[in-house]
Amino acid sequence: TRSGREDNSMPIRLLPETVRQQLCEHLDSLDVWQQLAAFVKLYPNDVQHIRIQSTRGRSPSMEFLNIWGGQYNHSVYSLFALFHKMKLHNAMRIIKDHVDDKFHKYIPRSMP
Amino acid sequence: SVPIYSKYTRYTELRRVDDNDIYKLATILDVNSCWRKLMSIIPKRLDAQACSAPGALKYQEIAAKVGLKYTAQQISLIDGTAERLTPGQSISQVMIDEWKTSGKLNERPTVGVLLQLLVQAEIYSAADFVALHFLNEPKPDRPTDGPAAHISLDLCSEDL
Repeated sequence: TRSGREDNSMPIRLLPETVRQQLCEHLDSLDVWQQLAAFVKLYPNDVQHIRIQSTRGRSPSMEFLNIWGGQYNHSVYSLFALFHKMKLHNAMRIIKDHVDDKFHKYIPRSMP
Repeated sequence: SVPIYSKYTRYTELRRVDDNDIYKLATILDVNSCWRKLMSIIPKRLDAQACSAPGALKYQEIAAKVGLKYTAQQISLIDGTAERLTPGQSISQVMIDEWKTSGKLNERPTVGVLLQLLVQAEIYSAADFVALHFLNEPKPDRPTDGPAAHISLDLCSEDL
């Protein structure tokens, strides 16, 4: 695939804490973790783990990033691409400084 | 490119790997209890030396024939040590310490066996680390489907 050549972004787990928190607050407010988990085809036991953690007051989006970014070692570029495919344009904006400038054209201009 | 230097080979037994390197691996396996995912798929009576080379560990075949090394009870025994850990010790380290000294001489797990089992369990954080830092090899290939698959921007996207 082309991604191997184009992707020199950091792993998701190295995202600065402030960005990660801002991102998770945004994703939690949209309540999209289940759609994210379904899109990347997380296994049922991992989905269940996120659900249990969220009933204990943990951020489900943070748990999603822990699993998809932590165990599977995905990059911020892949996360950016995932948000693009799911049309989560504000989420793309939150992490845009951590992907190459040439990918910023994928973020649609914000509507008035 | 041809690897110039690697710290270990695929045939290096895990008990010969530096404690500090095992520790780094263990901290990766602590995330999301990945050590449990690894421990639960280790085959019984594996001829580790014969399975160390790339692609030599035919997992489905071996696991179906000989079964699994650790029972759910043994895995929960490791879980039970969590409260007794000293600071700086990790639960994954306890698991690796048990595994690396287990079995007869030819069954002692190697770096090559570890890497192939990590890929089998889709623990790519640890698999990428072992490939790059232990073996100076490229990261293992990803499946084209499922949670480990790469996602990339569609270059013929309508948004362009």
